[in-house]
Amino acid sequence: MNDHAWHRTLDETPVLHRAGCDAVKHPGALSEGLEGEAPDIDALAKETRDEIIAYGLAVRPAYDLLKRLLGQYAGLLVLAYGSRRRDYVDLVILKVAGDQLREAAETLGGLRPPRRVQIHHDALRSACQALAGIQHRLAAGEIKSDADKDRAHAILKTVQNALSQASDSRFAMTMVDFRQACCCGASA
Amino acid sequence: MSDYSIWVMEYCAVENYHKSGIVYGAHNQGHKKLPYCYVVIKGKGHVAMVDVGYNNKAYGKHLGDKFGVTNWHSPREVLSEVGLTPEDVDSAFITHAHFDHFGNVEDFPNAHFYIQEREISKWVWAMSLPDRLRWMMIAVDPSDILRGVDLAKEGRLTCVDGGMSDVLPGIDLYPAHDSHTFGCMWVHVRNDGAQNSKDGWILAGDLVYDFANLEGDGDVVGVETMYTPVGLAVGSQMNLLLSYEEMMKTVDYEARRVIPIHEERLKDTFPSRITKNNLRVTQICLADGETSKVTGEAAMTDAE
Ligand SMILES: [Zn+2]
Repeated sequence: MNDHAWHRTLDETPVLHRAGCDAVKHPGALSEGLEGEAPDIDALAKETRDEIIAYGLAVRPAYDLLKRLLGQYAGLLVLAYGSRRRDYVDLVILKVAGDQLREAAETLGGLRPPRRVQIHHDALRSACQALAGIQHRLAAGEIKSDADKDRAHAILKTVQNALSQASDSRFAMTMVDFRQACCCGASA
Repeated sequence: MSDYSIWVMEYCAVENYHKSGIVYGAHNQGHKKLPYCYVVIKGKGHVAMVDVGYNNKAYGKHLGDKFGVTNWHSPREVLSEVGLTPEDVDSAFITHAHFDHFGNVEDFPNAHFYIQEREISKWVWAMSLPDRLRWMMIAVDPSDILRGVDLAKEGRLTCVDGGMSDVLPGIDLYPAHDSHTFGCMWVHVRNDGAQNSKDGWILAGDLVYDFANLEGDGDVVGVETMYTPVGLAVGSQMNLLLSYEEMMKTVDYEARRVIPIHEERLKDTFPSRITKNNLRVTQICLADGETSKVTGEAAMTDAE
Protein backbone atom coordinates (compact mmCIF):
# COMPACT_ATOMS: atom_id res chain seq x y z
CA MET A 1 0.00 0.00 0.00
CA ASN A 2 1.67 3.21 -1.04
CA ASP A 3 1.37 6.53 0.72
CA HIS A 4 -0.74 8.12 -1.96
CA ALA A 5 -3.40 5.50 -1.94
CA TRP A 6 -3.50 5.45 1.78
CA HIS A 7 -3.25 9.16 2.53
CA ARG A 8 -6.65 10.12 1.29
CA THR A 9 -7.69 13.70 1.71
CA LEU A 10 -10.67 14.61 3.80
CA ASP A 11 -12.74 15.26 0.71
CA GLU A 12 -12.05 11.84 -0.67
CA THR A 13 -12.70 10.14 2.61
CA PRO A 14 -15.64 7.79 2.42
CA VAL A 15 -18.41 9.09 4.59
CA LEU A 16 -18.60 7.43 7.96
CA HIS A 17 -21.92 6.38 9.30
CA ARG A 18 -23.46 9.06 11.45
CA ALA A 19 -24.46 8.41 15.06
CA GLY A 20 -27.72 6.52 15.07
CA CYS A 21 -27.35 5.25 11.51
CA ASP A 22 -28.69 1.72 11.14
CA ALA A 23 -25.40 0.46 9.85
CA VAL A 24 -23.71 1.15 13.16
CA LYS A 25 -26.69 0.77 15.43
CA HIS A 26 -25.65 -2.64 16.55
CA PRO A 27 -23.11 -2.48 19.32
CA GLY A 28 -20.86 -5.46 19.51
CA ALA A 29 -21.29 -6.52 15.92
CA LEU A 30 -18.67 -9.13 16.68
CA SER A 31 -20.57 -10.61 19.57
CA GLU A 32 -23.68 -10.65 17.48
CA GLY A 33 -21.80 -12.62 14.94
CA LEU A 34 -20.92 -15.08 17.66
CA GLU A 35 -24.30 -15.23 19.31
CA GLY A 36 -26.17 -14.73 16.08
CA GLU A 37 -29.88 -15.06 16.45
CA ALA A 38 -30.55 -14.56 12.78
CA PRO A 39 -32.34 -17.53 11.19
CA ASP A 40 -29.36 -18.57 9.12
CA ILE A 41 -27.16 -19.16 12.15
CA ASP A 42 -28.00 -22.84 12.18
CA ALA A 43 -26.73 -23.11 8.70
CA LEU A 44 -23.38 -21.75 9.70
CA ALA A 45 -20.93 -24.39 10.63
CA LYS A 46 -18.78 -24.21 13.76
CA GLU A 47 -16.04 -23.22 11.39
CA THR A 48 -17.74 -19.85 10.98
CA ARG A 49 -17.69 -19.27 14.70
CA ASP A 50 -14.01 -20.07 14.72
CA GLU A 51 -13.52 -17.69 11.83
CA ILE A 52 -15.20 -14.92 13.75
CA ILE A 53 -13.00 -15.57 16.76
CA ALA A 54 -9.92 -15.63 14.56
CA TYR A 55 -11.04 -12.38 12.96
CA GLY A 56 -11.67 -10.80 16.37
CA LEU A 57 -8.19 -11.65 17.56
CA ALA A 58 -6.54 -10.54 14.34
CA VAL A 59 -8.37 -7.23 14.11
CA ARG A 60 -7.67 -6.14 17.68
CA PRO A 61 -4.25 -4.56 17.02
CA ALA A 62 -5.85 -2.37 14.35
CA TYR A 63 -8.65 -1.37 16.70
CA ASP A 64 -6.08 -0.45 19.36
CA LEU A 65 -4.10 1.68 16.94
CA LEU A 66 -7.19 3.51 15.73
CA LYS A 67 -8.27 4.16 19.30
CA ARG A 68 -4.88 5.61 20.11
CA LEU A 69 -4.90 7.75 17.00
CA LEU A 70 -8.32 9.08 17.94
CA GLY A 71 -6.90 9.98 21.37
CA GLN A 72 -3.91 11.73 19.86
CA TYR A 73 -5.83 13.81 17.35
CA ALA A 74 -8.47 14.67 19.96
CA GLY A 75 -5.74 15.74 22.37
CA LEU A 76 -4.14 17.90 19.70
CA LEU A 77 -7.50 19.53 19.04
CA VAL A 78 -8.04 20.20 22.75
CA LEU A 79 -4.70 21.99 22.80
CA ALA A 80 -5.50 23.80 19.55
CA TYR A 81 -8.77 25.13 20.96
CA GLY A 82 -8.07 25.29 24.66
CA SER A 83 -4.49 26.38 25.23
CA ARG A 84 -2.46 29.34 24.20
CA ARG A 85 0.15 27.07 22.71
CA ARG A 86 0.57 27.41 19.00
CA ASP A 87 3.02 24.54 18.66
CA TYR A 88 0.52 21.87 19.53
CA VAL A 89 1.32 19.81 16.45
CA ASP A 90 4.53 18.00 17.19
CA LEU A 91 6.27 16.66 14.12
CA VAL A 92 7.69 13.64 15.89
CA ILE A 93 4.24 12.67 17.08
CA LEU A 94 2.84 13.20 13.59
CA LYS A 95 5.44 10.91 12.12
CA VAL A 96 4.63 8.19 14.63
CA ALA A 97 0.92 8.71 14.02
CA GLY A 98 1.58 8.23 10.32
CA ASP A 99 3.31 4.93 11.06
CA GLN A 100 0.47 3.83 13.31
CA LEU A 101 -2.07 4.64 10.62
CA ARG A 102 -0.15 2.70 8.02
CA GLU A 103 0.10 -0.29 10.33
CA ALA A 104 -3.63 -0.19 11.09
CA ALA A 105 -4.49 0.12 7.40
CA GLU A 106 -2.24 -2.80 6.53
CA THR A 107 -3.70 -4.99 9.27
CA LEU A 108 -7.23 -4.20 8.15
CA GLY A 109 -6.34 -4.63 4.50
CA GLY A 110 -4.90 -8.07 5.20
CA LEU A 111 -8.05 -9.41 6.81
CA ARG A 112 -10.87 -11.22 5.08
CA PRO A 113 -13.66 -11.02 7.64
CA PRO A 114 -16.45 -13.60 7.75
CA ARG A 115 -19.56 -12.14 6.17
CA ARG A 116 -21.44 -11.90 9.42
CA VAL A 117 -18.92 -9.42 10.79
CA GLN A 118 -18.22 -7.59 7.55
CA ILE A 119 -19.94 -4.54 9.07
CA HIS A 120 -17.35 -4.49 11.85
CA HIS A 121 -14.50 -4.54 9.39
CA ASP A 122 -16.15 -1.86 7.24
CA ALA A 123 -16.55 0.40 10.26
CA LEU A 124 -12.89 0.12 11.19
CA ARG A 125 -11.76 0.68 7.61
CA SER A 126 -13.89 3.79 7.35
CA ALA A 127 -12.52 5.02 10.68
CA CYS A 128 -9.00 4.38 9.46
CA GLN A 129 -9.57 6.31 6.25
CA ALA A 130 -11.14 9.21 8.10
CA LEU A 131 -8.19 9.38 10.49
CA ALA A 132 -5.82 9.25 7.51
CA GLY A 133 -7.56 12.33 6.18
CA ILE A 134 -6.93 14.18 9.42
CA GLN A 135 -3.32 13.05 9.48
CA HIS A 136 -2.88 14.30 5.96
CA ARG A 137 -4.34 17.71 6.77
CA LEU A 138 -2.31 18.04 9.96
CA ALA A 139 0.92 17.07 8.21
CA ALA A 140 0.20 19.58 5.46
CA GLY A 141 -0.46 22.29 8.06
CA GLU A 142 -4.01 22.60 6.84
CA ILE A 143 -5.84 22.54 10.15
CA LYS A 144 -5.53 26.13 11.26
CA SER A 145 -8.74 28.09 11.11
CA ASP A 146 -11.69 27.44 13.39
CA ALA A 147 -13.55 26.03 10.40
CA ASP A 148 -10.71 23.53 9.80
CA LYS A 149 -10.73 22.50 13.44
CA ASP A 150 -14.51 22.17 13.47
CA ARG A 151 -14.35 19.89 10.46
CA ALA A 152 -11.66 17.73 12.01
CA HIS A 153 -13.65 17.60 15.22
CA ALA A 154 -16.78 16.44 13.38
CA ILE A 155 -14.79 13.67 11.71
CA LEU A 156 -13.29 12.55 15.02
CA LYS A 157 -16.78 12.28 16.44
CA THR A 158 -17.84 9.92 13.69
CA VAL A 159 -14.65 7.92 14.25
CA GLN A 160 -15.39 7.75 17.96
CA ASN A 161 -18.88 6.55 17.20
CA ALA A 162 -17.58 3.87 14.86
CA LEU A 163 -14.96 2.68 17.37
CA SER A 164 -17.44 2.59 20.22
CA GLN A 165 -19.76 0.47 18.11
CA ALA A 166 -16.88 -1.77 17.17
CA SER A 167 -15.81 -2.25 20.79
CA ASP A 168 -16.22 -5.69 22.28
CA SER A 169 -14.86 -6.53 25.70
CA ARG A 170 -14.76 -10.26 24.88
CA PHE A 171 -11.98 -9.49 22.45
CA ALA A 172 -10.41 -6.94 24.85
CA MET A 173 -11.47 -4.19 22.49
CA THR A 174 -12.57 -1.47 24.91
CA MET A 175 -12.10 2.26 24.71
CA VAL A 176 -10.37 2.34 28.11
CA ASP A 177 -7.75 -0.16 29.14
CA PHE A 178 -9.20 -1.07 32.52
CA ARG A 179 -6.78 -3.84 33.30
CA GLN A 180 -4.38 -1.52 35.06
CA ALA A 181 -6.76 1.30 35.94
CA CYS A 182 -6.06 2.96 39.25
CA CYS A 183 -9.47 2.20 40.62
CA CYS A 184 -10.08 -1.12 38.95
CA GLY A 185 -7.52 -3.48 40.31
CA ALA A 186 -10.03 -5.64 42.15
CA SER A 187 -11.69 -8.61 40.59
CA ALA A 188 -15.39 -8.90 41.20
CA MET B 1 -15.69 33.27 58.78
CA SER B 2 -16.10 30.48 56.23
CA ASP B 3 -16.67 31.30 52.58
CA TYR B 4 -17.31 27.81 51.25
CA SER B 5 -19.08 24.59 52.13
CA ILE B 6 -17.34 21.41 51.00
CA TRP B 7 -18.98 18.01 50.65
CA VAL B 8 -17.42 14.74 49.50
CA MET B 9 -20.11 12.87 47.56
CA GLU B 10 -19.83 9.12 47.02
CA TYR B 11 -21.33 8.08 43.67
CA CYS B 12 -20.40 4.36 43.59
CA ALA B 13 -17.93 2.01 45.25
CA VAL B 14 -15.77 -1.08 45.00
CA GLU B 15 -16.37 -3.20 48.08
CA ASN B 16 -13.10 -5.07 47.97
CA TYR B 17 -10.16 -3.15 46.61
CA HIS B 18 -6.69 -4.51 47.18
CA LYS B 19 -4.72 -2.44 49.68
CA SER B 20 -1.56 -2.51 47.62
CA GLY B 21 -3.34 -0.33 45.06
CA ILE B 22 -4.02 2.25 47.74
CA VAL B 23 -0.72 2.28 49.58
CA TYR B 24 2.53 1.56 47.77
CA GLY B 25 4.05 -1.73 48.83
CA ALA B 26 1.11 -2.95 50.93
CA HIS B 27 1.28 -6.41 49.37
CA ASN B 28 -0.79 -9.27 50.75
CA GLN B 29 -2.48 -7.00 53.24
CA GLY B 30 -5.99 -7.73 52.08
CA HIS B 31 -8.75 -5.56 50.73
CA LYS B 32 -10.87 -2.62 51.81
CA LYS B 33 -13.84 -0.66 50.52
CA LEU B 34 -12.92 2.01 47.98
CA PRO B 35 -15.66 4.59 47.53
CA TYR B 36 -15.64 6.60 44.28
CA CYS B 37 -16.40 10.23 45.06
CA TYR B 38 -16.34 13.75 43.73
CA VAL B 39 -16.33 16.95 45.71
CA VAL B 40 -18.83 19.81 45.76
CA ILE B 41 -17.66 23.27 46.81
CA LYS B 42 -20.41 25.86 47.33
CA GLY B 43 -20.08 29.50 48.29
CA LYS B 44 -19.47 33.07 47.16
CA GLY B 45 -22.20 32.60 44.56
CA HIS B 46 -20.46 29.60 42.99
CA VAL B 47 -20.92 25.86 42.84
CA ALA B 48 -17.75 24.01 41.86
CA MET B 49 -16.84 20.35 41.52
CA VAL B 50 -13.51 18.68 42.00
CA ASP B 51 -13.76 15.93 39.35
CA VAL B 52 -17.01 14.74 37.81
CA GLY B 53 -16.97 10.94 38.03
CA TYR B 54 -17.65 8.62 35.14
CA ASN B 55 -20.57 7.95 32.87
CA ASN B 56 -22.34 4.73 33.65
CA LYS B 57 -23.68 4.34 30.11
CA ALA B 58 -20.19 3.96 28.77
CA TYR B 59 -18.49 1.83 31.41
CA GLY B 60 -21.01 0.74 33.98
CA LYS B 61 -21.63 -2.80 32.88
CA HIS B 62 -18.01 -3.61 32.25
CA LEU B 63 -16.87 -2.10 35.55
CA GLY B 64 -19.60 -3.90 37.42
CA ASP B 65 -19.00 -7.28 35.81
CA LYS B 66 -15.23 -7.26 35.82
CA PHE B 67 -14.20 -5.14 38.77
CA GLY B 68 -17.06 -5.23 41.23
CA VAL B 69 -17.91 -1.54 40.99
CA THR B 70 -21.43 -1.21 42.36
CA ASN B 71 -24.16 1.24 43.20
CA TRP B 72 -23.45 3.96 40.62
CA HIS B 73 -25.84 6.90 40.79
CA SER B 74 -26.10 9.92 38.55
CA PRO B 75 -24.88 13.39 39.51
CA ARG B 76 -28.52 14.50 39.57
CA GLU B 77 -29.33 11.95 42.28
CA VAL B 78 -26.07 12.49 44.15
CA LEU B 79 -26.09 16.30 44.13
CA SER B 80 -29.74 16.43 45.20
CA GLU B 81 -28.55 15.24 48.62
CA VAL B 82 -26.99 18.67 49.15
CA GLY B 83 -29.86 20.52 47.49
CA LEU B 84 -28.11 21.08 44.14
CA THR B 85 -28.52 20.05 40.51
CA PRO B 86 -25.80 19.43 37.89
CA GLU B 87 -26.99 22.62 36.16
CA ASP B 88 -26.02 24.63 39.26
CA VAL B 89 -22.36 23.73 38.80
CA ASP B 90 -20.41 26.61 37.21
CA SER B 91 -16.84 25.33 37.61
CA ALA B 92 -15.16 21.92 37.56
CA PHE B 93 -11.53 21.32 38.49
CA ILE B 94 -10.32 18.08 36.92
CA THR B 95 -7.47 16.69 38.99
CA HIS B 96 -6.47 14.28 36.21
CA ALA B 97 -7.89 12.65 33.09
CA HIS B 98 -8.60 9.13 34.41
CA PHE B 99 -12.04 8.04 33.30
CA ASP B 100 -13.45 7.98 36.84
CA HIS B 101 -12.58 11.66 37.33
CA PHE B 102 -13.06 13.17 33.85
CA GLY B 103 -15.57 10.71 32.40
CA ASN B 104 -18.83 12.56 32.87
CA VAL B 105 -18.47 16.12 31.65
CA GLU B 106 -21.70 15.82 29.69
CA ASP B 107 -23.78 15.88 32.85
CA PHE B 108 -22.59 19.39 33.78
CA PRO B 109 -23.86 21.61 30.97
CA ASN B 110 -23.06 24.95 32.59
CA ALA B 111 -19.64 24.20 34.04
CA HIS B 112 -16.35 25.68 32.96
CA PHE B 113 -13.64 23.02 33.22
CA TYR B 114 -10.01 23.34 34.29
CA ILE B 115 -7.34 20.73 33.57
CA GLN B 116 -3.56 20.85 33.38
CA GLU B 117 -2.35 21.33 29.81
CA ARG B 118 0.35 18.77 30.51
CA GLU B 119 -2.27 16.14 31.28
CA ILE B 120 -3.46 16.44 27.68
CA SER B 121 -0.15 16.99 25.91
CA LYS B 122 1.66 14.10 27.60
CA TRP B 123 -1.33 11.85 27.01
CA VAL B 124 -1.01 12.58 23.31
CA TRP B 125 2.63 11.63 23.55
CA ALA B 126 1.89 8.45 25.52
CA MET B 127 -0.66 7.34 22.92
CA SER B 128 2.02 7.59 20.27
CA LEU B 129 4.32 5.14 22.04
CA PRO B 130 4.71 1.52 20.98
CA ASP B 131 2.73 -1.24 22.67
CA ARG B 132 5.58 -2.22 24.95
CA LEU B 133 5.09 1.16 26.67
CA ARG B 134 1.35 0.67 26.86
CA TRP B 135 1.33 0.84 30.64
CA MET B 136 1.56 4.62 30.41
CA MET B 137 -1.71 4.88 28.53
CA ILE B 138 -3.92 3.30 31.13
CA ALA B 139 -7.29 4.42 32.38
CA VAL B 140 -7.78 7.35 30.01
CA ASP B 141 -10.59 7.11 27.49
CA PRO B 142 -9.98 8.75 24.10
CA SER B 143 -13.71 9.50 24.07
CA ASP B 144 -13.26 11.69 27.16
CA ILE B 145 -10.51 13.61 25.42
CA LEU B 146 -12.82 14.04 22.46
CA ARG B 147 -15.49 15.44 24.76
CA GLY B 148 -12.77 17.78 25.98
CA VAL B 149 -12.67 19.09 22.41
CA ASP B 150 -16.37 19.95 22.70
CA LEU B 151 -15.67 21.87 25.88
CA ALA B 152 -12.64 23.67 24.48
CA LYS B 153 -14.54 24.62 21.35
CA GLU B 154 -17.36 26.09 23.40
CA GLY B 155 -14.82 28.06 25.43
CA ARG B 156 -15.62 25.91 28.46
CA LEU B 157 -12.18 24.39 28.99
CA THR B 158 -9.12 26.13 30.35
CA CYS B 159 -5.85 24.24 29.95
CA VAL B 160 -3.89 25.40 32.98
CA ASP B 161 -0.13 25.59 32.71
CA GLY B 162 1.14 25.09 36.27
CA GLY B 163 -0.43 26.81 39.26
CA MET B 164 -3.37 29.19 39.21
CA SER B 165 -4.40 31.50 42.04
CA ASP B 166 -7.94 32.58 42.74
CA VAL B 167 -9.50 30.49 40.00
CA LEU B 168 -12.55 31.28 42.10
CA PRO B 169 -12.11 33.77 44.96
CA GLY B 170 -9.91 32.04 47.55
CA ILE B 171 -9.47 28.84 45.52
CA ASP B 172 -6.08 27.93 44.03
CA LEU B 173 -4.93 25.14 41.72
CA TYR B 174 -1.55 23.44 42.25
CA PRO B 175 0.21 21.18 39.73
CA ALA B 176 1.72 17.84 40.75
CA HIS B 177 3.32 16.87 37.49
CA ASP B 178 4.62 13.38 36.74
CA SER B 179 3.10 11.90 39.86
CA HIS B 180 -0.10 9.78 39.78
CA THR B 181 -0.45 10.97 36.17
CA PHE B 182 1.49 13.32 33.89
CA GLY B 183 -0.44 16.47 34.74
CA CYS B 184 -2.19 15.91 38.07
CA MET B 185 -3.36 18.88 40.07
CA TRP B 186 -4.85 19.53 43.50
CA VAL B 187 -7.15 22.21 44.81
CA HIS B 188 -6.67 24.49 47.82
CA VAL B 189 -9.70 26.23 49.27
CA ARG B 190 -8.67 29.16 51.51
CA ASN B 191 -11.87 29.30 53.46
CA ASP B 192 -11.05 32.47 55.37
CA GLY B 193 -10.05 34.20 52.12
CA ALA B 194 -6.62 35.00 53.59
CA GLN B 195 -3.47 34.54 51.52
CA ASN B 196 -1.84 32.67 54.38
CA SER B 197 -4.98 30.84 55.26
CA LYS B 198 -5.49 29.33 58.68
CA ASP B 199 -8.62 27.60 57.43
CA GLY B 200 -7.51 25.87 54.26
CA TRP B 201 -8.77 22.61 52.77
CA ILE B 202 -7.02 20.55 50.13
CA LEU B 203 -8.85 18.33 47.67
CA ALA B 204 -6.20 15.87 46.64
CA GLY B 205 -7.76 13.93 43.76
CA ASP B 206 -5.93 10.61 43.40
CA LEU B 207 -2.65 11.97 44.73
CA VAL B 208 -3.80 10.78 48.14
CA TYR B 209 -6.17 7.80 48.38
CA ASP B 210 -6.07 7.12 52.04
CA PHE B 211 -5.00 8.60 55.38
CA ALA B 212 -2.15 6.10 55.32
CA ASN B 213 -0.57 7.95 52.38
CA LEU B 214 0.07 10.98 54.59
CA GLU B 215 0.45 9.26 57.93
CA GLY B 216 1.76 5.85 57.02
CA ASP B 217 3.46 3.60 59.51
CA GLY B 218 7.03 4.79 59.93
CA ASP B 219 8.13 1.80 61.99
CA VAL B 220 10.43 0.50 59.33
CA VAL B 221 12.60 3.60 59.60
CA GLY B 222 12.02 4.21 63.31
CA VAL B 223 9.71 7.19 63.07
CA GLU B 224 6.09 7.48 64.09
CA THR B 225 4.63 8.23 60.66
CA MET B 226 5.90 8.94 57.19
CA TYR B 227 4.45 9.70 53.81
CA THR B 228 3.82 6.57 51.75
CA PRO B 229 2.69 7.07 48.17
CA VAL B 230 -0.43 5.71 46.50
CA GLY B 231 -0.09 2.45 44.59
CA LEU B 232 -0.17 3.98 41.12
CA ALA B 233 2.38 6.45 39.81
CA VAL B 234 2.71 6.96 36.06
CA GLY B 235 5.31 9.55 37.07
CA SER B 236 7.27 8.82 40.22
CA GLN B 237 6.79 8.01 43.86
CA MET B 238 9.20 10.83 44.57
CA ASN B 239 6.94 13.36 42.90
CA LEU B 240 3.98 12.00 44.84
CA LEU B 241 5.88 12.48 48.10
CA LEU B 242 6.94 15.98 47.11
CA SER B 243 3.33 16.85 46.37
CA TYR B 244 2.37 15.55 49.85
CA GLU B 245 4.99 17.79 51.38
CA GLU B 246 3.70 20.80 49.46
CA MET B 247 0.11 20.03 50.47
CA MET B 248 1.01 19.53 54.11
CA LYS B 249 3.09 22.69 54.21
CA THR B 250 0.17 24.60 52.72
CA VAL B 251 -2.06 23.53 55.64
CA ASP B 252 0.59 23.91 58.36
CA TYR B 253 1.07 20.12 58.55
CA GLU B 254 -2.47 19.52 59.78
CA ALA B 255 -3.15 16.23 57.98
CA ARG B 256 -6.94 16.27 58.44
CA ARG B 257 -7.08 19.30 56.12
CA VAL B 258 -5.94 17.17 53.17
CA ILE B 259 -9.01 15.32 51.91
CA PRO B 260 -8.50 11.93 50.21
CA ILE B 261 -11.69 11.25 48.29
CA HIS B 262 -11.32 7.47 48.10
CA GLU B 263 -10.98 7.22 51.90
CA GLU B 264 -13.92 5.46 53.55
CA ARG B 265 -12.67 6.57 56.98
CA LEU B 266 -13.40 10.23 56.27
CA LYS B 267 -16.52 9.41 58.28
CA ASP B 268 -14.40 9.02 61.39
CA THR B 269 -13.10 12.56 61.08
CA PHE B 270 -16.03 14.49 59.57
CA PRO B 271 -19.81 14.35 60.03
CA SER B 272 -21.52 12.27 57.37
CA ARG B 273 -24.66 10.36 56.58
CA ILE B 274 -25.80 7.56 54.30
CA THR B 275 -28.41 8.51 51.70
CA LYS B 276 -31.42 6.49 50.58
CA ASN B 277 -29.22 5.17 47.76
CA ASN B 278 -26.73 3.86 50.29
CA LEU B 279 -24.09 6.43 49.35
CA ARG B 280 -22.21 8.54 51.84
CA VAL B 281 -22.25 12.35 52.01
CA THR B 282 -19.37 13.72 54.07
CA GLN B 283 -19.41 17.33 55.17
CA ILE B 284 -15.92 18.75 55.37
CA CYS B 285 -16.95 22.29 56.30
CA LEU B 286 -19.93 24.65 56.13
CA ALA B 287 -20.03 28.19 54.83
CA ASP B 288 -21.48 30.89 57.05
CA GLY B 289 -25.26 30.74 56.74
CA GLU B 290 -25.33 27.30 55.06
CA THR B 291 -27.36 24.57 56.72
CA SER B 292 -25.87 21.19 57.45
CA LYS B 293 -26.62 18.48 54.92
CA VAL B 294 -25.71 15.65 57.27
CA THR B 295 -27.49 16.49 60.51
CA GLY B 296 -31.00 17.42 61.58
CA GLU B 297 -33.58 17.06 58.81
CA ALA B 298 -31.07 15.77 56.33
CA ALA B 299 -29.88 13.07 58.72
CA MET B 300 -33.33 11.48 58.81
CA THR B 301 -32.28 9.21 55.97
CA ASP B 302 -29.11 8.10 57.72
CA ALA B 303 -29.01 4.34 57.64
CA GLU B 304 -26.42 4.05 60.36
ZN1 LIG C 1 -6.59 8.16 38.98
